[in-house]
Amino acid sequence: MTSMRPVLPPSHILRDDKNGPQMWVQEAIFGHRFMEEQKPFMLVLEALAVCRARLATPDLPGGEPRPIFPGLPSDGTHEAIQVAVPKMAEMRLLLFRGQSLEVIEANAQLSDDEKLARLVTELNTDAGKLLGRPKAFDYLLARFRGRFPELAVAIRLLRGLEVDALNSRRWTSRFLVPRGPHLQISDLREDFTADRRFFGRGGEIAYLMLNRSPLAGPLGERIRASFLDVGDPLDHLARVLSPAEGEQGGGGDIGYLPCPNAPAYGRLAEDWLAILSLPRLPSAQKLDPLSRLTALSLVRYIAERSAEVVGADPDPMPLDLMDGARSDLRDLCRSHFERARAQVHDAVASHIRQVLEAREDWRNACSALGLANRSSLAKQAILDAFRAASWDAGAGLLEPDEWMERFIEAAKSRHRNGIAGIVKPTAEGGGFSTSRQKVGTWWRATDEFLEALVLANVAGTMTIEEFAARLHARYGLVIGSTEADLSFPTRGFDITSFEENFRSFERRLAGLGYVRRLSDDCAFVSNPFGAGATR
Amino acid sequence: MKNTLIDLLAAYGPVPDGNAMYDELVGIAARRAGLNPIMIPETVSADVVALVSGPVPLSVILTGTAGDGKTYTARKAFESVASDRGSIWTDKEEQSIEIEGLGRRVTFVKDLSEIDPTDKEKLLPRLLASLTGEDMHEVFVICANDGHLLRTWREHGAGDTRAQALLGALADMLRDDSVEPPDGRPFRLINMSRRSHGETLGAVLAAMLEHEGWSACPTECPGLGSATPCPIRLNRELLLVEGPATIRSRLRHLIEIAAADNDHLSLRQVMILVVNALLGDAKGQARPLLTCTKARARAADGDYDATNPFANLLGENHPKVARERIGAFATLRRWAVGEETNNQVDDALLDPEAAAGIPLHSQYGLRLMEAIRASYLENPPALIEKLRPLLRDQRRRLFFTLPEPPEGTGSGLDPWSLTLLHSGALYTNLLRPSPAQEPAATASARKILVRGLNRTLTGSLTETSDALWLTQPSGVFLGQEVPLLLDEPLRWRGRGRSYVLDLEAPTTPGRPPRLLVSEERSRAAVSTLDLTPTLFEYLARVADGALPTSFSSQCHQDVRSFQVRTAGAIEALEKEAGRRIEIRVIDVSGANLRDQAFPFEEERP
Repeated sequence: MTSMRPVLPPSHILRDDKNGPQMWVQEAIFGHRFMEEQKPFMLVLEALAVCRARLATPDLPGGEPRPIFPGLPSDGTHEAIQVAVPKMAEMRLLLFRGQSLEVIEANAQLSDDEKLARLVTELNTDAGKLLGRPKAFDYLLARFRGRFPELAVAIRLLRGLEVDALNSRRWTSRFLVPRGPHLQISDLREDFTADRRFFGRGGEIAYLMLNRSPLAGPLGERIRASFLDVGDPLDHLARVLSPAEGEQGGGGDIGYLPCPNAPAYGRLAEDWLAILSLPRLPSAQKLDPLSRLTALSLVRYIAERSAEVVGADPDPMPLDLMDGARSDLRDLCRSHFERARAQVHDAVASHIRQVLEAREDWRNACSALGLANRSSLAKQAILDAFRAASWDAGAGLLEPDEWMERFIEAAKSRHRNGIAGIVKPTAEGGGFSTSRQKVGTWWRATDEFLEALVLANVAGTMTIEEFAARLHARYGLVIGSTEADLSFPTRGFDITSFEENFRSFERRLAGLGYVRRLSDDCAFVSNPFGAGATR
Repeated sequence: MKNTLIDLLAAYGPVPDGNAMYDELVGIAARRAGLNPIMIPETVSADVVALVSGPVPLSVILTGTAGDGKTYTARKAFESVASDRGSIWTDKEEQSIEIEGLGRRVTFVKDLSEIDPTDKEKLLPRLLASLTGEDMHEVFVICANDGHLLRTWREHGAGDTRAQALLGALADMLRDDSVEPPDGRPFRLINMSRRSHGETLGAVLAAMLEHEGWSACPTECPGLGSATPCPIRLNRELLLVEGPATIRSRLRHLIEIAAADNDHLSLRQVMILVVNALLGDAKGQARPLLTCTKARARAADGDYDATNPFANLLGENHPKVARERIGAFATLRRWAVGEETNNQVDDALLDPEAAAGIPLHSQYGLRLMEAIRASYLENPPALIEKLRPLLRDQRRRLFFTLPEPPEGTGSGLDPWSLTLLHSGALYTNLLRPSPAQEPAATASARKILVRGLNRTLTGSLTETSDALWLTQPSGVFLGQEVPLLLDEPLRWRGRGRSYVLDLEAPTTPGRPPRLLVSEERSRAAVSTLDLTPTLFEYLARVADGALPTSFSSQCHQDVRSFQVRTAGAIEALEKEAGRRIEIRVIDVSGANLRDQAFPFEEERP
């Protein structure tokens, strides 16, 4: 059994014993919290929303702007950061509700100003119903008199920036490419309070990781220049279309990340900094690779943290590049995918044992005389240790170990914030796992994921072998036979499958324009968006 | 009653890739034939001698694809340096010669990957000292595959900053095809695969077809005047013909096109192709090459379908499995010569009345499909399977012998329409050095290129082909319904303002032409797009109104990446210069693209 690592107190989340999150097990290990519905791009948008909130808060005494990343407090406490969210109600209505623009535009009977008036009337009706403010859009009348055609183009341009547009979520959970602060839309309930359905705090956790990384300072500057600058023309359009005074929503406490430091934090920050520093990659194109790399970092964080709690080495990730064409490799990738989830459960069990064994009330329970005493003391110790008031423990007299096993089962199978359950959607959204009927889910790379790996990991001249070695060293990804030999010393598979996998890796990268083969013996990976790259 | 040259030539014929015994086999065949081996003239060995024995001692690294003559060149250089010193080239991997007057030793390494580990440990410190200029008394001529070269320094140079710096320099040089190191280190890197493919093919054809041994052909064999000539002599004649519509010319184009698509054929592979065209025999079973005896039998039986060089150039005389293991055939077959067709060609082949305008040939022409063709017209379903391969071989013959129709006539009798690369005529023009290009064809290529790019970038069927409308990447998968123009349309150099386009001929043999975006004044490159034959064909088909799904995903990706790189670079440059980037709305509703003001532009800060 490993000794438990010191973690930060979650006092900003757990203010008193009664209210707030219950069953504090997976949260204590991994953080508070992750949600299955939160797609990788939403992780990035949520993290950026925290950054924007930092900039929107008043300057420090002396007029200096607040840094995006203040760093972990030096007094051993958790960050206490308030995240205020602008409601942006008019923008959301204008872009995601009104279906009437095209109809009004095509109505040849109306003059431009009549069209504007008609549009405002329809929007106001909607605003009356949804916001209780039937004059919400009157500001458009004065601002765009005589300029209806321009307004129409502007709305269409902004609608064209919607991310994941094919998905039909509620109108308060639709998002734009974050090219500037006015295009950053946060997820809210339809009454404009946070229900954390899509912004489930995973992005807050990513923010906290970045905040605790050694690169936080330079990264903050890059984030500001890439996403919070107001120079983008489309960000300007969003500003023009918004009312002068936007309504600010209430603030909330940021989520919880237990360990003060971990390798995953630095790695995530390196990846973000690498993407944001690419001089030839326009800001708008940065969201996609950032999302995929953030998803990868979270999945690796979960694997590494599980392994740490269990006292094992993190499991490598054999990655299928052949779309399942070789079933032996696919099966290996599947079994490692399953292990990633199983190890979360093992970590839950280990954590519960470790916590209880370190508690005096538990030890007292175990040594108490009489089953009735042991049973009630043990159950109470569990309830106290894990904020488990909501645990449907069942009745009966049980030995402490039996109570513990019963609690472990309950903690594993809990659906809400089940860490094992978020691995699959996060990996699938990031483009590094896939599911097929009768096969299951396995680690498998999409082209977009490969692209993100190149953008974050290739600078200068690098051979494809060096690239694969770097992916192995940084993320534990196993692609070719060299890495397979390192990761799986007791080889239970046909090594030619990894050789074939590596050839497929090269072929796909070449198809994407990132690999050029010089001869039968040498191929280079290049990052065309890096400094000095002209090819 | 045979010509021993035929056996010697066969020794250069098709073998599966990676046969390490090649040199030995060829040597034995030459001795047995009592003839000189095939000599391909080369000039690199003289360059090597000049470098190692010049006033400043310079080492030479010879790199390149297997079969491009690294070891051969090193050996020639050795023999030249050693000529008056009595040293003999041996089997040893490492051998040295002293050049007394210069106080210098030249060490030749035949193949870096063949040196055994203990010798390598001793060799590498000396090599490093020489390549970094610390030891001026020993220079090296070293043959190494590029990948092996890099691996060697990565494995043996860990922790040594000099070796790390050398590794970085070598990687950059290999990537950029540069011969001289950037920082004045005393060595040169010569890539043997960067020889012009046209020159290589010409040299191989000359060495094989004009070999002195041809004079030894027995006089009693049926000559070219006969109705049933010796197929070897017949094929030699076909390969000797010069001109634009000949095997020589079209084969050269195919090899150059493949190279521009990153599929380089080595000298040895070119030799394989020529031998197979000359001696290929589809009836040969285990040994699909003609001997004099077999050639006589084929002629006597009129079996010219077996010796058809137009089919055998593509490996048709080999069983499928064997063929796939020979890289040269796989490379040529990718272009699907004879697999594509059009009505005009097929009508001409199937209907003797319509045959006007296509080249004929007594042995390899329509005669080969005559029997089936006649009955096919009576009963097509029964015979189509038999006719198909015959038709395909005739189309292959036409590919090698049809003249290109004049530019812009739209005639179906275009040899390139019988391949995957319909735009081959325009493309091969772009592969030439700029002064040698046909101006009219280059102008057409530019228009097609720009129109294809404009259509891809704006998602419309625009006709605009005079300027490239670079759209702003939106960051969204589906792209924007309303495309945005970044800066102003990019025009060709001489007609544009801040940023301009150039169509660059290949800078090194084997590289594709490139579309270059650069700053007008400084000429500094902003971005480039490699115009591989596949991408050019894609753009040509898009410009022509087709949506070529078969190879669109990679090409679409190439264009998208070019768009993002160019937009990103222009945005970065404008920002650096303190200028505000202009954005306009593109109106795609008309035949030509038009731009409109960006909404509320005057209010932009």
